[in-house]
Amino acid sequence: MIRPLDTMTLAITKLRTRRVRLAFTILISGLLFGLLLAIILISSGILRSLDSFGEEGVGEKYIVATSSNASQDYEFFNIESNNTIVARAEQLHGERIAAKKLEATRLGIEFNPADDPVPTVFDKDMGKKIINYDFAESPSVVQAIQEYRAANETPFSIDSYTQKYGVKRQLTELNVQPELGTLVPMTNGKEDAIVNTQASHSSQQFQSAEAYNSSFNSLTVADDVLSMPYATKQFDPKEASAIPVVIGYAYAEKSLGFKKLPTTASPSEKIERIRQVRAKSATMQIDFCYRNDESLALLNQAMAQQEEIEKNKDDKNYRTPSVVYKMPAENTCGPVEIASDARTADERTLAQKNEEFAKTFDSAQDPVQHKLKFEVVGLTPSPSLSDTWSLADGLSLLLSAAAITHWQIPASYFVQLPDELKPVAVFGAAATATDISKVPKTASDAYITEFASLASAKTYLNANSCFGNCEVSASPYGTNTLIMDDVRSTLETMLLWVTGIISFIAIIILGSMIGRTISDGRKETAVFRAIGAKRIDIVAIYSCYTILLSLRIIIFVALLGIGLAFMANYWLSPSVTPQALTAFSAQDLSKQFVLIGFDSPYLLYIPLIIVGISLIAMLPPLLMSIRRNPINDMRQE
Amino acid sequence: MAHHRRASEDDIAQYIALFDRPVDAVLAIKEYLETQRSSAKHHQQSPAPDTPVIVSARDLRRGYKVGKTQVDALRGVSIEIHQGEFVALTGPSGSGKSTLLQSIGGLDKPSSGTILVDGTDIAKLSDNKLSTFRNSTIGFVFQFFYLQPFLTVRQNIEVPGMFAGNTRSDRRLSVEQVAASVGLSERLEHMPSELSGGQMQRVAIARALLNQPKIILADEPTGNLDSANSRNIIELFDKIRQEFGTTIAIVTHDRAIANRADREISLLDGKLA
Repeated sequence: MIRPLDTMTLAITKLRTRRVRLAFTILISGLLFGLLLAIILISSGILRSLDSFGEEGVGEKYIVATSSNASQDYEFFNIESNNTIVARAEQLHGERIAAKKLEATRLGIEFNPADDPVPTVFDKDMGKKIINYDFAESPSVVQAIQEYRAANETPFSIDSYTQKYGVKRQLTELNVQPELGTLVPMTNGKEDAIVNTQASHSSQQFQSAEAYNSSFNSLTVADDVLSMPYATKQFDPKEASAIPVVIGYAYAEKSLGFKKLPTTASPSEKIERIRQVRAKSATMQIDFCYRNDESLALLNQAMAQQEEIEKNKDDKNYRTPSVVYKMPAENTCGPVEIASDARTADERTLAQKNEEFAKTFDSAQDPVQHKLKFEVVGLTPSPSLSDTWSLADGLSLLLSAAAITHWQIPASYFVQLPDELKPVAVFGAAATATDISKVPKTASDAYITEFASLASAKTYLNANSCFGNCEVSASPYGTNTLIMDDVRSTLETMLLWVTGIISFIAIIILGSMIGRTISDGRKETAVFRAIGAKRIDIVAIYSCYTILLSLRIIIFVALLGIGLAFMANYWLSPSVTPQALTAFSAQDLSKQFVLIGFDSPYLLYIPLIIVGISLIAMLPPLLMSIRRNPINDMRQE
Repeated sequence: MAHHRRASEDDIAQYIALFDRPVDAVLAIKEYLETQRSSAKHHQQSPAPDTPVIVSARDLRRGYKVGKTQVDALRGVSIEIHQGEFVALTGPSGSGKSTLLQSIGGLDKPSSGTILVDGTDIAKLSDNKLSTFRNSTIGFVFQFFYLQPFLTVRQNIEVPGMFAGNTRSDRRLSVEQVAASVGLSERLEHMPSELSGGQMQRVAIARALLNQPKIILADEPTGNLDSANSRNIIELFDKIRQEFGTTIAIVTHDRAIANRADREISLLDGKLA
């Protein structure tokens, strides 16, 4: 049989013929695989950088947040026709009306039962009484539902869901969301409700991603595992005069008076900005204003009254209200006080009686307001999005998909704070707790679990990720570790498909080209056969030719793929790096987000695939060729 | 020029007018007359030599289909060629001479009949053994040379040695020997494109000789050459026969070659004429 070096000598002669066709084949196949290689190198680099940045912040932990959907069962439309609740609501309403009549008589005030109508209504379609939607919040209905829930609802236990998986620990994060009233930061030290004459913030519409990111969205008291990684300065809670808080980077940047960097800002300017924001935020304090519903209602009333008086100041017929309220200073979060009271003694007595009557039967409270001082001890990640979408934005979103972007009070600091800094009206049961994990969760609190391994966290997620009508719904939380694993497996699946499609196209191109070459070489094959070549010798020559052709393609693919990946890295890394630094709150600002990586196993597969499909493409025409009678091919002169 | 009647002066004048130079016409006439003389001598000396028979074909038949038409290329041909003999296979186109040559060389398998070459019934050989047989026993020379354009003369001559699995050093020795025999020692590092037609055919002959075959089968080896080169090639074949004792069978239309051969085997319509 022909020796390997001789095989190569003869195979090389074939590569020197039909050079245009050869170049075309290398170009087309190389372009396809070159793009694939570039995608692999870039995705490998991205994943590697994500892993590297993922070690920042909460770090490489397997944390899942689980929300209980049990309260859905008690939403209005699910219980409106519940016979027990309807009957109990009617009973409670009757008792309430009777009690109100008695109390009105005792106080000597008027009470009209029509002012407190029966909270049920007959539904023709159902043929029975149901709760009237308009009175769903009436005390009778609320109490009836609470009693029903207490009697029927099984208390939610996160352990019953997570215990069969490898749980490392349960973490606690409690929303600071006063049941009665609102808690909002005082932007620039001023009360937003007064400055903007808007009491409600929930309906605030954000005009841009930047505006959203730089706003306050929510505040939690969070387990140290979740919050302390973002703390950047020492804090002594026992000597504290303010509540320590980790706030969003974008909020800090805006509040500190930094103007938005232009889109043309250089990467070094962006990184310098991050450095400046971090440095300045270390001395930053933010005031919050808490007002309960009555305080807020009074504030609204005072503002409306002030507006009305101002509007009618030139109207001689206008009569100012008998009670005129005085607006608190916008930086005090103070109470709304009475500026003048022109009521008679009887009118005041009647008002006091009505107030007493309301407090007895409704949830009315005295107006309460607190000004709370917060001290910034760290910054949570903020996805640094521009208003015009870019690839860097896409990566930034991916980076911060599970990152904690709300404000956090580290739990270990919180429990040690002096009591006067954490009013019960604002912090509820957590205010007096020594261990926040023991504080009962509200419907808005998620159950946060850290799993011992990626596998157990993924198994749990697969079993409990739910977007429909389910008992619980779980999602990755606090760290991108789990998301990155999904991204990695999705990417691998995509690469597998892309490789398959490209290989299929390449087989057609290479099969066509190699087939033509073999067909063109039939006469030469016949001559070789005449002078003593065995069929296996011909197979060896064409196999060697195919492998040499593949090597040329591989070289072209390597040059093209690596070149494209380096270009992508050159263009994108400078813009992605600052976003990654903020999205992960990376401590080391010299860290680079590199978009090229050479550690994907696919890098080994590509040359093998190219050689493999080339040989596969070669086989059919070659097998047909060596089975031909050489005489037939020599006669075709 | 007709040879069955004496040429008139006019005939000769017309024939000379076909050439650009009168000297070419004279050379052509001289060659023609020599051919005629050697043909007459040849036919008088055609009995087979006493050497052993190296090729023995018995009742060879070969048919194949061209479209829907059955073509009988060989119709019961029986021949014997002796060792060291120089045989010319002649006949008009389609007479079956090339088919006979390829059958002897094991490139084509007869539909029936037997071929013994050097004592081996080649019809019974497997494809692999047939390849080895061709490589070691037969040397093929073709009308169109079939050289590898991107290999040097040396490498082209080496090709049969490559298929024999010979080492490069063994081949180098053999190449230099055969190159010297065909007069190409100075051209070994040249590329085929740098050679004339005659030189290319010499390379092809050297290639055929490399593995020291017992038989050289040449299919119209001068068909693509001018008369001077043709003459040189025939002389080379004769020299090879003398030098190596190689049996030579040549398919040719060229009367000069046929006349130069020891024996002419003529075929007509797939039969011996």
